Parts: sequence; C-alpha cells; structure tokens
Amino acid sequence: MNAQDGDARVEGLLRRWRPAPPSPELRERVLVGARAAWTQRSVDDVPVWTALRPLAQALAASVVLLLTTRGVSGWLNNGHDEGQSACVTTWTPLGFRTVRVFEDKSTATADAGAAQRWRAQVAAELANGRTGGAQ
Amino acid sequence: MAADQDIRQAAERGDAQALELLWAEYGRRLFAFLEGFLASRADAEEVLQEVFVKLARQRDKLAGTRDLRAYVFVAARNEAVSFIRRNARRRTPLDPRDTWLEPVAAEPGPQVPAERIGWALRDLPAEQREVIVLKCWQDMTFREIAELLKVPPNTVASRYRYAVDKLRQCLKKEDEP
Repeated sequence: MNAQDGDARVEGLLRRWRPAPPSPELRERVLVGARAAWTQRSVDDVPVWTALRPLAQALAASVVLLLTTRGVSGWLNNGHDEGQSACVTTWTPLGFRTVRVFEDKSTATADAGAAQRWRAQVAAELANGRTGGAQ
Repeated sequence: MAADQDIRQAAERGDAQALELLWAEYGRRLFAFLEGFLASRADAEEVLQEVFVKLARQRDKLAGTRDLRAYVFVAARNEAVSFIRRNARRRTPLDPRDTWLEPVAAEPGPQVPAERIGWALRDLPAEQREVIVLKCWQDMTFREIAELLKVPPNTVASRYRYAVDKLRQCLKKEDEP
C-alpha cells in the first residue's frame, strides 16, 4: 500500500464517523448564558475596570471613564489582535482631558503578562496625570 | 453570506437575536469542531458555552468583522486551547461513556471503534489535530484552513501529512488484517 492509499484509508476510517450534534438542552444552556452576557454587558465586565476602580475613587475631583476604540474587553480576553488601542479619559471641572495610555503595535500579544502590563501602565499613567492625544 | 450579514446587522442593532442566528449558522459546526479538537463531548459542551459568552460580550466585533466564519472558529479554537492548558493536569484518560462520535450510516467498509479514533486523535499534537478535524469533518480545503489559522498552506499540508502518518500507525492494528 503506497502513502496516498494509506492517507485515503485513514481519511476513510475517520469519515465513517462524525462528531455527534449538540443536544437541544445544550443549545438552550448556551443561549441562556450568551443572552445574559449580551444584556448584562457593562463597564464592570471589562477586567481592567476592576483594577482601576480604587484609583478612580481616589481621584475625588474627577470621574474616570474608560473609553475604548475597538474594545478593551476583546483585547484583554483574546490578546491577539493587532493595533488595538485604548485610552482613559479623565473628566475634570475644566472639561475633558484625554490620556493616551496604550496602543498595541505588536503582532503577538498572546503572552499571559500582556494584560497585566497594560493594566499597570494604565494605572501608572493615571497616577502621573500624563496626557496625550486621543485615539 | 446572507446569514453572516444578518448576524452582523442584528449585532450592530444591539439585538440579541444575533445570538440565535449565530447558533443557527455556526452552533453545530463549532460544536463538531470542538468535539474533534478536544476529543470529548463533555469538554466541548463546556467550551462552547464559554465561546458564546465571549462572542456575546464582544458584540462590537461580531458586528464589525468581515470574515465571520474565521472569527468564530478562531474564537472557539482559542478557547479550546485555553481549556486544555487550564485542565492539563485534570485531563484524564477518555471516558468510554463520553461518546462524541456517531456512525455515518451510508459509509460501508471496515470500522474502527469510536473510542479508538478518540484515543488516536487525542494523541496528536493540537496543531495537527485541528487540521485533521477541519479537513475531515468541516470539509475545509488546505487553503481555507491556512486562512483560518493564519499559517501558510504548505504548513497546513505538512501538519496534515504528519497527522495522517501517526493516525495510520495508531489505527493499523485495528484496521489491517
């Protein structure tokens, strides 16, 4: 038996089976969970907000809003996308002041420490009051 | 595709109907992919729930992505890889009751028991296993798989080659006289 025949034979063996379909119960469970995530989506779902909240509370004169250009939540959860950026806007009695805190230019940000470093950078820039261009 | 367009438009409106449409178009296919990739129905159920929750949370992306199929498959794959990493220690030998394969009635010829297929697949490295699953059970071409995984088509073909070689060795005893 040559290699090609062998390949066809293996494929043939696999194709005599197929993955079983999802049950209606699974469909229901999946959709219930997804609907809840869809409707309950809020700033608290963005992990970085949890880290920022104590800092935000400390800034008595300001309200800190976390704005995203293409979804901080997505970037943090997946960590794969290129070129995503986020900014923190600090509102003061004098008006809005945008603080640029991160712009991801890397192509491979899947490492586990990326989100942690990003959060640290957000916190540091907020603490320093560093300002920059809006995204 | 019309279905993808409907999903995107619903997501853009903030209409949770997008999730039903997403399930109708991709639920079964994603589940089949996860079953094959994880070689377990129970694990696939757990991961699929996570995938849909994440897709729902990132609905802006759902609305904005151009290649929805690639987007949802990559999301499922990433979640499955995370699941394997998280549960590396806990992953035990396959439970024979975890029947994630069903026979295709119209295919005559020699049969290898489902659990034997499960074992053989599970022994493959993840990057080879996903190519086998996408090619054999999602009917994707090497080019489509390459686009999905963002690797060159030749790399996909090599992974397939290695995987088939290993599977052939692993299934030989059962299959050949």
